[in-house]
Amino acid sequence: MIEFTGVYKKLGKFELKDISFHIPEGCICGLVGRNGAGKTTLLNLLLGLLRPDEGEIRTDDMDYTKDEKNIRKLFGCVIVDELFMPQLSPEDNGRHFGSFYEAYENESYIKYLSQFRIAGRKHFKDLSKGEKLKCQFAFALSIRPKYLLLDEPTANFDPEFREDFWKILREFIADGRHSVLLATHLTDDLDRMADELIFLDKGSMVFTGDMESFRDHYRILTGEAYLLKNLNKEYVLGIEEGKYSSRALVKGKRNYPEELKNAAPTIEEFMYLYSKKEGEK
Amino acid sequence: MIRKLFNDYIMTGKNTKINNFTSPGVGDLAIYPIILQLIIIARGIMRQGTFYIWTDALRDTVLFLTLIFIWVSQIKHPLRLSRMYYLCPMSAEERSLYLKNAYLFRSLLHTVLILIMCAVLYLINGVSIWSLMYIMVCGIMYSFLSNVHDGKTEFMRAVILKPAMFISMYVQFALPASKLTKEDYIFIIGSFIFLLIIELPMFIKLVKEIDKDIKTGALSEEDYYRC
Repeated sequence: MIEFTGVYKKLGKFELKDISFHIPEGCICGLVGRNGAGKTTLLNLLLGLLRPDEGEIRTDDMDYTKDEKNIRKLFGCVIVDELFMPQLSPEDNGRHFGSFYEAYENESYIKYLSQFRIAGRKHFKDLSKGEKLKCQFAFALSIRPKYLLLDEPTANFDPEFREDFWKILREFIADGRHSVLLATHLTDDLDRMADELIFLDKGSMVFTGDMESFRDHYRILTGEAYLLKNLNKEYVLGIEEGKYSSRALVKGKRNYPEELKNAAPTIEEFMYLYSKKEGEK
Repeated sequence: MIRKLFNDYIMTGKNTKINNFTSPGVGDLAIYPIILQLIIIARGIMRQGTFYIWTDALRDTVLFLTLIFIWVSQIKHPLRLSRMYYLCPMSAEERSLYLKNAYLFRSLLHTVLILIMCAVLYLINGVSIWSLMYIMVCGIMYSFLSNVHDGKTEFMRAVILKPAMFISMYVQFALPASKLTKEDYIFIIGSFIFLLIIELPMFIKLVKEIDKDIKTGALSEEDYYRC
């Protein structure tokens, strides 16, 4: 299990504040938020590339100060930075960096490269952005990690591959012992596939929990603007006024006026209406 | 172990472009002594004409190729780890050891080349035994140079130490291979004094900085770049 407890990190003017959550085993956890919300900082903290100023990060009851090597064995990652050596081919990169991992299987890596239609002998620098990410994804799978940490990979994947990608992730977590933390803006897929969700906004945690709790915790009310404006402001998170109908994102299941249509939000709707919070328009 | 170090040497060498100067903001100015050396060789041929015999040509070429190989190798193998190494399962001590082993491996490889070069110079009777000793000592020191993080030390290495070593080795060829005169001996003693007073203190300072960089490389990536 991955656990963040009261984590605080300051990077220049940006602050990641009081981040606490846990990711259980056997789940796909979506990490969402607007640009600059702190998703990449959070992933870098988890990968040990950054150290928290306050709080604690534990992975399977280990932390980086004592068990750095053992923690790193647990993670396979795809991050926005190009991790591989640009002048080497994907195959050479795999062999070179794979030699640091006990569980690395070169055959499996080559198999994934071929499945993802990557030219294994081309220079890494000559691959397209999507292909580079696929390479890193193939490598991340081939080191047999317990946790996959993926930072916005899907945006650069072609639609055809995206289906394969999700299939691989489902297979990865199928035994109930592996988990995936996926930062993405493609929230449609998360709505279908994610079991857990972490939502960040301006470095603060807005929501963490399973998708059922998310759908129970937040509702979208649709109807006349005046009805929405009469709602108790304490539990209204954002309102969007339309010409014919308006929408409001509200907290919790309550007795709302019957005239208002009440539905669970999608992640995208949630993100959009949350951005309509008063003072943020 | 040796095989892995050799593979790593080849891989990192392939990955770094020769025009990708690795020193922080200074660049590797040893290129100027190389150009200077080419000019000296050309002038030697022009002045000596037919007296510029094949042993002279071989002597110049052997020194030139060895030093240029080491120069390229040092540029292509910076004392630094890329981000991926910080994600690989290694403890801070192992990362430090990895950097240290890589540095020692390539430095020893350079030393072997220097020794081979000295053996060739000895066999062709290209320089006097005292000049050969100077070239060997200076060459071994030259083999252990590496770019460092600290700007001032890096400047000293690239602008003063490396060119000084390069030139001081080459000027030994100005002396005759045998029948040394009193002035020749004074020149050789002067070279050793230069090595002891000027080059050696700078070399020791650089090695201390290299050691510091190796230890810093063991830290988390954030701390590494903070240093």
